[in-house]
Amino acid sequence: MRSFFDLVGFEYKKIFKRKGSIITLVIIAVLTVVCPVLILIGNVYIDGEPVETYYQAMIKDREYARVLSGRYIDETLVREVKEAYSKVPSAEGNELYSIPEYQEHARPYSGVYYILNTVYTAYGNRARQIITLTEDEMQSFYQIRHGEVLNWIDTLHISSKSKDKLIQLDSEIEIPFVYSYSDAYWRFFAIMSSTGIFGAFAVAVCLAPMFAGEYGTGADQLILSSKFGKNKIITAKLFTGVSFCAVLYLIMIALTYLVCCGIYGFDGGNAPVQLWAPFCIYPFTMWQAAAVYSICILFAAILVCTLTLLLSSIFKSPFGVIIIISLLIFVPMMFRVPSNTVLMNLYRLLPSNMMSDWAVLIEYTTYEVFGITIMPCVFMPLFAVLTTGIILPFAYRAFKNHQIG
Amino acid sequence: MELVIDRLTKQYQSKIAADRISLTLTKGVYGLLGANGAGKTTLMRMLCGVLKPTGGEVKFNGIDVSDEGYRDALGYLPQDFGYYPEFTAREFLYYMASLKGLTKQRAKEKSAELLEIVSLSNMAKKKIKTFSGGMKQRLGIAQALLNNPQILILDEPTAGLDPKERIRFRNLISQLGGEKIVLLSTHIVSDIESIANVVLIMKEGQIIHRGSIGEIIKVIDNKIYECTVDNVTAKELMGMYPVINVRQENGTIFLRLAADKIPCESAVPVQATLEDLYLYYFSEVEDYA
Amino acid sequence: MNKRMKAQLNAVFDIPAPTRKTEFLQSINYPKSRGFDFILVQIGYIRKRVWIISCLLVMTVLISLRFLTDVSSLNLIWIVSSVLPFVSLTMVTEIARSASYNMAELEMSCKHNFAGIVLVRLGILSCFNMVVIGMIILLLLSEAGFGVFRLGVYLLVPFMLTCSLSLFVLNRLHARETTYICGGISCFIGMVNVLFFNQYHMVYSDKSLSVPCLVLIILMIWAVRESVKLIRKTEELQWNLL
Repeated sequence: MRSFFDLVGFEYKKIFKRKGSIITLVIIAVLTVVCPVLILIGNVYIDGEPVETYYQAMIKDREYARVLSGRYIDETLVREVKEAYSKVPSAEGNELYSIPEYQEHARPYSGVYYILNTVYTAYGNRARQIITLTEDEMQSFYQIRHGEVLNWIDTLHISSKSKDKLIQLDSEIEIPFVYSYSDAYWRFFAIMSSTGIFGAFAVAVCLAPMFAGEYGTGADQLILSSKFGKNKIITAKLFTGVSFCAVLYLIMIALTYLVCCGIYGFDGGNAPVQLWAPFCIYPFTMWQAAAVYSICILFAAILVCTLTLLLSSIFKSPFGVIIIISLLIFVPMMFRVPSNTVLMNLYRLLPSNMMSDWAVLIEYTTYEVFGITIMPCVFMPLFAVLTTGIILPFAYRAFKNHQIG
Repeated sequence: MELVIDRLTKQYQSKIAADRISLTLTKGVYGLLGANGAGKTTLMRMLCGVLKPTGGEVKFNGIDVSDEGYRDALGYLPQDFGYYPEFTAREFLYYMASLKGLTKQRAKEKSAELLEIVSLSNMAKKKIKTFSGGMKQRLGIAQALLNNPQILILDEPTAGLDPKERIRFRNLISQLGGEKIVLLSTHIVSDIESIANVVLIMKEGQIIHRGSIGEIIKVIDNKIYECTVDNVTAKELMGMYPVINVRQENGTIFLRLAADKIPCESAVPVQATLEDLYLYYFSEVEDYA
Repeated sequence: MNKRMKAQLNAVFDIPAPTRKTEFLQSINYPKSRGFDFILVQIGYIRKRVWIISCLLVMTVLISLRFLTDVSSLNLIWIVSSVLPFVSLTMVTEIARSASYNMAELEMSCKHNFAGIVLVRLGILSCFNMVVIGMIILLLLSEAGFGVFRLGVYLLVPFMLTCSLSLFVLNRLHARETTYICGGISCFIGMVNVLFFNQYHMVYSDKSLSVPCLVLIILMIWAVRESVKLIRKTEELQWNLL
């Protein structure tokens, strides 16, 4: 066992001795820290004049949101929001900032406004603008929301068993929602997909030479002719690859979380995830959703790692491995597949999509396997583990049976 | 036809790889002999214009080494060279011919001729990545001769060749030496013994000796001894003098060694060879004087 | 002289065997190839995949414009600009080919030496890529809804960034690893471009054209400087002691 971990140690050493690996990891670390901050750089401009910085705007909005934190999103709050926004003359985007009535009356409610507006005007229903809500509509926020959820589930091409499962999940959501300031989690969800993609690229760069590098330098002859060359060292390499990927991602996720919370505050962990995605049917709190999302990203990364190791064991040079993995990661991001189709279900299982918040937490779908209905946030990690288990032996065999010359 | 090397120097910070080398080379075969790190490859690279000297100049018939005309008259075989793996032997020669300014027709003729000379005609259409080390070396020799060079610089040309191929190569170089300036560096002393008209001994960046084989061996005349001694004496002698040959013989040990004076009573002076000279120059025999 | 007389002379006289034929042949100065021939030959030695990748890109744009009518023009521009780094990669790998395959020393000692080869390859590939990008701009122009200049800026920024960074790496790192690192750079820039568009749409608006313009100018200057450095480096071997 000791010799196994000695071999693992040497493999780690080889990774960290490569300049390319070090440079890539440094860039990824910088991006992980900087990305949550980027959106706060710059000013809000009105008529060419800076009014406030984005950071100042965030601080102000946070103060307003914290005042509202702990309140139920109920008829009373809806009425308050309606009254506040009714005082604001019609305007959009940054123009609102220039209106004194907005700053005085409506801005303190802007955090809640987003949730209400999303539900009331769902799917282009412009008749239900906040300022034109009737008494009935103000009282039936949750019924309207539930109705839209049911409408959408009804359009899905899935079995009735799956539809029941989705409805049951939605019914487990605790209502009324308790509003809480949760921007840190908003940023976390927004940033993690990009961070996950960068991390996958770093994994490809660092692990591509795991086997292909040996072929290139001619060390394969020495390794394969040694005592452990056709068993232990290969296992050590695979173990190093997977563990490196897992550790890298755990660090990246932790770093992103800490930076987001450090900037925006640790508030909102126990708030319902519906404050971020009003039509999300999972009965999760923000931190539960963040944890589930992180797990999906981690396993998607392990899938990328496995594919990298497989290609590395087959190709003669790391160059081709990096190109193919990069294309695998970012080409799917450029295309849209028709939703509500089998193709979409498969498309969601691509690594870059497994790292996206919409696929994991927002979209309504299920996977049915042998009559069992599985939600995407459970199916995706399982799929990744299964695929990893199938692919790794091929990588093992490819290197073991590699012919010199 | 004259290649003039005038105070050629190459310095890297505190290390002097070539130290004010001055030579004039005319038609013939020059063997460059030296230990690893003596500066042979550095000198050859400067003569080929692939390395800029720190000082000094190189001219061939008045044409400076940086001139295109100089490279037009040059054929070079480096010590370690790569290839484009997807090229066949013929395609590789066509490519090198295009770089040497040959027309397509001439390239075709010359490539066919040279492939025949280096015995690679039947491999002309095969990809270089399938070649053995010796075949790659022969292909390298062929490309060096494409432009019918007047200066031929060969760095370790017989590395990887089997004895038969080495002999063929020696014969080829001997023929070429009649009309060209050929400078070849090697560790294989027998190559130089067989074909070099002039031997240049290089040590620590300087040419320390130059002359025909007979002339330079005179330096170690009466300095090579052979003796047969017991184990203890053998061990003692091996610790004091550079040993050229050691052989076990019926409980005793036969030694051939280099020494300024007779090393032991039973030692007899013998005729020196070039290999003896190499050892004499490149071990610290003066420490044992 | 008629044929019959020739035949009779042949029959009567023995033709003497040639003497010193080899010396005579070797003394002949054969005509050399011209500079333009050298350039034409170098075009033939550029690998097919360079031409194929660029042609595929143009074809894809054509097909997308013709058949994928539900893809917005901005999305198409964004996709093309994310793929252009790979076109740049093929150019850089061609330039670095001699070093990758350890042929630099041999090529340096030839009449048309290494600097000439690199310059010619750089020239050929730059012209070709400009033609390809020009064609793509013309194809997208009718759909884009904004001018040539703006379209050119959006397409060229990722392309020039890849070129500049790759040339920077080639000038500072040695042999084998360089193409692997340049591949990584291209993939990273393509990826960042994809993610950047998703997050920061406002960069593709009129108001923020000045920033990409400035970036493009800086990148072009940087690429030219690195190219000049690369050509200068090819005058001699950089790592003699290896």
